[in-house]
Amino acid sequence: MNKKLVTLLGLMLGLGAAFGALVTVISNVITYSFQSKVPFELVITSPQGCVDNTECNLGTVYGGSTVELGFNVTNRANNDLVGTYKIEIIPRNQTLDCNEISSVKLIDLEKEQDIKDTCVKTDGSVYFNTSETIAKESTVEKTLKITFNKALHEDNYTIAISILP
Amino acid sequence: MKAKLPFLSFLFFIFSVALATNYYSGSSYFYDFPSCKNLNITMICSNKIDLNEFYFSPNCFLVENQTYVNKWVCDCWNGYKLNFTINPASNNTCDIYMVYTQEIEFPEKREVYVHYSETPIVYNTTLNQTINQTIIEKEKIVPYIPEDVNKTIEELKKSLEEQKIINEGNTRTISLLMENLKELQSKSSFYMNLALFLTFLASLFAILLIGRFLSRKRNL
Repeated sequence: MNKKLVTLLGLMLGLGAAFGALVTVISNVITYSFQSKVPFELVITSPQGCVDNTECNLGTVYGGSTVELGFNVTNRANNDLVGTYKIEIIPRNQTLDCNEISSVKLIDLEKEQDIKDTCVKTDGSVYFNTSETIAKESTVEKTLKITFNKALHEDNYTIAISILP
Repeated sequence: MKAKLPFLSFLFFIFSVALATNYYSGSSYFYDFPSCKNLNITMICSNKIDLNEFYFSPNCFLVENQTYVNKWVCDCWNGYKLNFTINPASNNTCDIYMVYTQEIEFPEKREVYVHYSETPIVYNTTLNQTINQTIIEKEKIVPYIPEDVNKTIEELKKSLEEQKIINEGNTRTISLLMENLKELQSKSSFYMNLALFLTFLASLFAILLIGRFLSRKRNL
C-alpha cells in the first residue's frame, strides 16, 4: 500500500515537474530563485587562538606596547567593491579613549596607512574605520598594527574587525 | 502517514531552499534574450526590498515598488542582454519571474497581381496600321502599394516576354517531337508491312512444301 502511494506521489511530482518545465518553455517565462549573500569575507589569520574569525582577545595589554593582527579579506562578487573596515578596540574593565592609542596602521603589500585620525569613541570602547576598493573575486592579505600610548590603562583588550560593503 | 506529513513538508521546504542559487551581493549577472520585444520582471523577496537593492539595465524601469515585491518593465530587442546587478549591501532571498514576448518575423509577402488582356487598338497613322498591343487593364497590389510599382510592372513585362520565348521554344520542341514520332511511326509501319510480307511468303512456301509432300505420298 505504502509503496503504491510513494510511487503515485513520485509519478505526480514527476508529471508536475515535466508540465511545469513545458509551461515555462511555452509561455516565455524565466523563473529562478536566488539568495544574495554578503560579498566580503574576513578571517583573522594571526595570532592563533582568537575568539573567532573576526574577533581576537589580546589578553593583558600594557601602555606603550604594539599588537599585530593578520587577516585576509575576500571579495566574492564579480565586481570591484568598496569595503569599509571597522576596527574596534574593546577593554574589559577600563574605559578606553582615542588619545590612548598612538597609531593604527593597516598594511598590505601595496600600501601602509595610519587610520588613527578616524577614531570614534563609543560607550567604553573606540573604533576606527577606513574604506578601500577590493578587486573582484580576490583575497587581500592585511596586517593591523596598533601601538598603544604609554598612558594606556592596563587591561584585557579585544579587537573586533569587520568589513561592510 | 499523517504523522510524517510535517516532516515531509519540512523536507520539501529544505529542498526548495537548497534550490535557490547563491548570488553574491555586488555582483552582476547577464541574461541573453535572442528574441525579445517586451520584458516584464517581477521580484518577490522574503525580506523587505530596499530602494536600489536590485538594478536591471539597459532600458529597464521600476514600475512597482512594494515592500516585498518589485516590478520592472524593459524595452528589449532581439539579442538583448539583460544586466542584473545586486547592491553590495543586499541580503535577501528572492524569486525572479521574467516574462517576455517574442517578435516572430514573417518574410515580407509582396504580391502584385496584374491582369493583362490583348486588345486590338487601331492607330490612325498615315499607314493606317492595326497593331495588337498589350495593355495593362487593371492593377491590384496586395497587401500594400510598393513605391517602385513601375519598376515592378517593367519586371513583370520582362518576365512575361521571357515566358513567351520559353513557350515558343517549348512549342518548337513539341512540334519537333511530333515530327520525330510521325517518322518513327512511318518507319515502324514499313517494318510491319515487311514482316507481314515475309510471313506471307513463308506461309506460301510452307503450303507448297506440304502439297508436294502429300502428292509424293499419293504417288507411293
